[in-house]
Amino acid sequence: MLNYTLRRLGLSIVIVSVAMSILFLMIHLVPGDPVTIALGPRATPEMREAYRARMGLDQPIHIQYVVFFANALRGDLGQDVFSQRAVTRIISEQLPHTAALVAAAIGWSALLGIVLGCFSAVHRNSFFDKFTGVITVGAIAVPSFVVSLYSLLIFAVMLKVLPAIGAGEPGDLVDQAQHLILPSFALGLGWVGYIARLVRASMLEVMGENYIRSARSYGLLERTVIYSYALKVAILPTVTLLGVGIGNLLSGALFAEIVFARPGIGKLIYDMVITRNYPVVQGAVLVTTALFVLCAMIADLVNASLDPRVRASL
Amino acid sequence: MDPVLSIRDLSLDFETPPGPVHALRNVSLEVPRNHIVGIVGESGSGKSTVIAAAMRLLANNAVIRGGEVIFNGRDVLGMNQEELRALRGEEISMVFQDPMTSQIPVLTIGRQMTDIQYRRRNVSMAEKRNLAVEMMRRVGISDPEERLDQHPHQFSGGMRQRIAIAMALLMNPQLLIADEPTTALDVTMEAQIIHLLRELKESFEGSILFVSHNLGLIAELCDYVVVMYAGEVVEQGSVEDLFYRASHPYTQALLECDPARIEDATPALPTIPGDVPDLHIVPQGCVFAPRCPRAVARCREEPAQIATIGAGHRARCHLLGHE
Repeated sequence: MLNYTLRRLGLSIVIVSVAMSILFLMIHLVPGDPVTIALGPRATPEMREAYRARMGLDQPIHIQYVVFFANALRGDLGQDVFSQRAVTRIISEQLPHTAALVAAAIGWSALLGIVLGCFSAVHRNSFFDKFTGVITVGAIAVPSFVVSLYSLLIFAVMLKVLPAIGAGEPGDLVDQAQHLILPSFALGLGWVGYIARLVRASMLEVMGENYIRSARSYGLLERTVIYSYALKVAILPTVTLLGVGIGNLLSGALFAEIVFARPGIGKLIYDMVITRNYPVVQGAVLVTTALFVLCAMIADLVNASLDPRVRASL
Repeated sequence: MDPVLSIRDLSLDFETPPGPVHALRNVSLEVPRNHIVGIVGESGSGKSTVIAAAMRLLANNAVIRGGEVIFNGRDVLGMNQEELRALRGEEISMVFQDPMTSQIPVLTIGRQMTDIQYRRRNVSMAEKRNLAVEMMRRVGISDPEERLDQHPHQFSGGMRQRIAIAMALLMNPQLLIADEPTTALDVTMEAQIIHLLRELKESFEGSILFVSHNLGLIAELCDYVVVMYAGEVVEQGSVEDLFYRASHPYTQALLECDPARIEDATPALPTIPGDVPDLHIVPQGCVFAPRCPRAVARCREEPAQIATIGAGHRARCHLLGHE
């Protein structure tokens, strides 16, 4: 397992380095002068020169590349163009809000999705199975911003039982938790569908495997066969999906963050793209990419701990 | 003494979209205590379906049309899920064809072997593990203590089949059903597994129902043989009856086609011309008539009746009844 972990970690580092290189190249290869884009067309030549020197844009490109990597390794992702605050600081302020939202959304949807998928597979073609089939496909089909708007309308505006916008009072955990309910519901609903469909499909596949027939031929209890054996194999693809899903939502929680006016990484990237605040966008994209790779790696490590065949590979 | 397993007049259909497949028709066979019975037949002859019916491990589209399966005086076909669970593993257990897919890939062999012993409520985990170690040793796995902590993929095919046998015998069943247990193995492994089964039969004092299409293995291992063709038992008797006094034209043809018995080099191996019939429509006469070299008009018109040839030796053929 240690061997696998080290190799997987090495692979992640390579992936992040490649992603950083691509990010660097994209910024330098896209048409247009970054200075003009950042400062606008009416900046004076002196302002441009000063900005260019401050951002290190007057250096040769390979030097810039090395500096970019070295700074990133030291935890320096540059500064906000307007406020001059460190980008890492801005991101670390926003990240906990997104992390809490994603954890809550994936948490409830994974629990419900696994239970629904498992139950549907065990009671295949029953009324319950067909009913959840319709509901889960529906949950996938409805865009999360529609769910956001309607849940906001129903629970916050009409029923007035839950807070509508914001992330809650800093330090007040109960208030923050209440503010999480609606956005995490809106964000997680589609995931219930994905997870339930995937768990159902892989459960059905595993239930048809020879080793399940063998297990039954030993007279094992049906609950042992289903929950200790079949589910343990069938859950593996779901773990991978969850890893990718969490990584994806870290920057993809945008709609929920905008509709509920919550701080967060998605909202940050959106705002900074609008105001052309380049270093912050670059830093935020880099951080979410690294987190995505991290989540995928954790999913793989969880898979490896569950499946000895994975440990033997790679 | 009563036979451990007795199947009488078992008929079974598989429901399929074009209509029912009459997979078994009036199958009768017995497994005497402490003996090995072999079922031999081509693919599609219904041999695997018979044994699946004996353990009620049938596909969902199987419908039993008639007959009974009596195990130790009890009717298996009338059992509820609870009774079946008590039967499986403890009284009848099974070794399947493909050892590479018989064990749960994500759990250690030791965990799977202790799980099987869940009915031994008063036995500690350490003791269950010791029983597993002992069983692994009996089937010829070296270093069983260490190997119990390994996962199925760390074993070779031959070893996995040994482990499957160990798992099947863990609860001391009275009947072990082996469904082509050596088909997926190479010849050396095959010989070892056959040797092991014969050895185990002596030490665990049970019966074995051995399914194969390999006549050589059947001759080597079994006391009694049941020959199946297209969902019917065409001939049954002791191993000597079948190999020295084969009476049914199908059995005779099978023996002639066994490559191990052909002494002279031939440009082409002999085969039985024709195909196994489509069992959506059961032929009016004898099922083997379309391929039978000795078929007469009556064979195509009336179903064949069972003729007794000697003690325990019976065949289903028109030509035998009037001789």
